[in-house]
Amino acid sequence: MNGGFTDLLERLVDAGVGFVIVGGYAGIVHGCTYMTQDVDICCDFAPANLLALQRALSDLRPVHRMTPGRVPLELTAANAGEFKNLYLDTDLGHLDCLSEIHGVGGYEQVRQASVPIEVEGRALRVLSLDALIAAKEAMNRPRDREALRQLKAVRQLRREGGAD
Amino acid sequence: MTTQPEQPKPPESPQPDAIREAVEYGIDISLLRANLALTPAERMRRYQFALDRMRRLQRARFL
Repeated sequence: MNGGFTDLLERLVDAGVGFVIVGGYAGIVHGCTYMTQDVDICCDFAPANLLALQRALSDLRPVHRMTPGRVPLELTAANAGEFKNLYLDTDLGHLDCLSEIHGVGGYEQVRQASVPIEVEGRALRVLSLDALIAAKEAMNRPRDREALRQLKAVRQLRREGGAD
Repeated sequence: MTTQPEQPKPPESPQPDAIREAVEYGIDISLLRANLALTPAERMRRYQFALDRMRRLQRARFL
C-alpha cells in the first residue's frame, strides 16, 4: 500500500471492478512528469460493476463531488443503470469514472486498447500510449495539447531507446 | 501557348520531432528519460509521493 491513488486502484482490483486507467493519470503511468489532481478510469457501467465499485469505496466516504451538497454515492440495483459518468471524491482522492473515452470508444474498445501493468502484485490495465494520444488529440482542449507534447515525446523516447 | 514543364514534387516533410518540440516548449526531457527507466509501479509511487508533498505544502499555505 502506497496511499492515495494507488490504494484506490488496488481496492478496485481487489473488488473485481472492471476498469482501465485513462486520462492524465494514464500519462503519469506511461512516464509523463506533469501533475494531476484526480485519477480517471473508464469502466463497465453495467449495474453489477458499479455496485462492486461502490463496495470497494464504501468506507472512503464517496460523494458525487459535482453535485450541490456533495451527495453521497448511494447506488442501488435500480438506479445504477442511470449513470453515464461518476465524478467522485473519496478519502483517498478524486476518482472520475467514465463510460466512454472520446477518440477511443466505450469500455470494451478502451479495454482492447489497453495494456497490462503490475502494481503491488496486482494486475491493472492502462490505456496504451497510442490510444491515450488519440484520445487527447480528439479532446484537443488546451490542457490536452499540453499533455500531448509530453506524451509524444515519451513515445519517441521509447521508440528510440526501446524503453518500456 | 506553351506547356509548363512538370514541376518536381517537393520532398515529403519529415516526421515531426516530438522531442525537439517538447524541448522548445520547455519540457525537461531528462526527467522523462528518468521516468522511462522506472517501472509503471515505481512511477505511480513517486508520483504519489510528490502529490502528497505538494498537498502538505498547500495545506501549510506555502503554495
